[in-house]
Amino acid sequence: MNFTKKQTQKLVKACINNDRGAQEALYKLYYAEMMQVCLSYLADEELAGEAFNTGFLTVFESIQNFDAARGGLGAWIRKIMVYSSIDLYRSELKFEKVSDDLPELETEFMPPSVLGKLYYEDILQHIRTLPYATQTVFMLSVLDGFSHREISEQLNISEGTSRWHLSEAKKQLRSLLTGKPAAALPTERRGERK
Amino acid sequence: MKKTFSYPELWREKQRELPPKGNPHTEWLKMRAVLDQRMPAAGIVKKTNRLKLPKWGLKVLVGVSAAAALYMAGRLYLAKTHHEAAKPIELQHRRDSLPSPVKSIIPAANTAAPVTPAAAPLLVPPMKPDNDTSMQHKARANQSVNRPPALNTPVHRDSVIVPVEAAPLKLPGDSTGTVDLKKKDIQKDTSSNNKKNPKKKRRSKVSVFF
Repeated sequence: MNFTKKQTQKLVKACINNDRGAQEALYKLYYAEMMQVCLSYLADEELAGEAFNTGFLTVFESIQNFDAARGGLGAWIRKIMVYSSIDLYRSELKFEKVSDDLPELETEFMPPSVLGKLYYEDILQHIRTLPYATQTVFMLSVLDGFSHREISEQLNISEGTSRWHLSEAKKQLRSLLTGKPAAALPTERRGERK
Repeated sequence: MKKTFSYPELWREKQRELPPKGNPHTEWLKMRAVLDQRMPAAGIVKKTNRLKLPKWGLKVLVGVSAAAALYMAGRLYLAKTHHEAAKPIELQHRRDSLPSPVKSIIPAANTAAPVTPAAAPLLVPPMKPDNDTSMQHKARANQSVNRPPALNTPVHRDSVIVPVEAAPLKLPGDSTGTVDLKKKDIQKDTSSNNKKNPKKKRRSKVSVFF
């Protein structure tokens, strides 16, 4: 999606004017990329399609709020798609509450070459074995680069809970990929269930 | 977004490995239907564009209207000037219509004076110029000049003035004298109305009966 700033501005302006042609162009331009984002968060294809269309409706309705100085159009649309996917499956998000003073767990460094050898679909299959809340925090943090504060605001949880879910996801994934069982976490670190 | 983002590009590339699902065209048709319901303003905008005149059309309209206005103004001006120019000619024509003896009597100074009923050509009985002398002409001209202004009003040469006798006045209570024809007419009218009315009354009675 190598669009110049001028072209992007033109497209955005036309979309603000409710030009169907420009809206169609924008929709088809980001279709593949944004559909992949929705499919990462939602396993069901129909649900992913619904999240995609809802997200694009939000894009068209609030495109006048897009500020090119703050970031690219693709990143802005991607963020909306992520929120739209989460909103669609929010009822399934059940978090474990953890104390805020919990330190972030140390994670082993994974060289990019190792990740490069793995297929995304295989990784996604492993991620989907995690509880939905844990996989959502993992995806938001690792795939989309959200900070714990942003995740806590979006999912309405504390930053400590976000941290705990991330470390839990990494641990479980490591055990799944290496074949070694994950070591049981101490009870004070797992937090209290609510 | 997190500052220490470890593998952003790598994850994006991995994500692109996912096979594209669904047809963008059919999905767009669904999206368009939703947009038509939620954001239907685009249709209205198109309709308003249809009503707009193109720029050249506007220019042509202004040019044509300006030309028409100029033409009308010019025509009015010409008509006015032509009317003013035609006035003395008309006067001349009137003067020419007078019989030759009178024409010679009218002084040259009077020709420049404005046309008034007093100065208008007068009705003079036709006469044979061969029998009249110059003294007789002068006397007749003086007579016509000395007449009261009401009689000096222009009358056509061939028109005949018939004296009208005043009709005798009649007071409202006076039964004697001449018969007022108008009253007779009224009586006739009322009698005819009385003949028609019984029928109407009968009808009304019938209608009341029912």
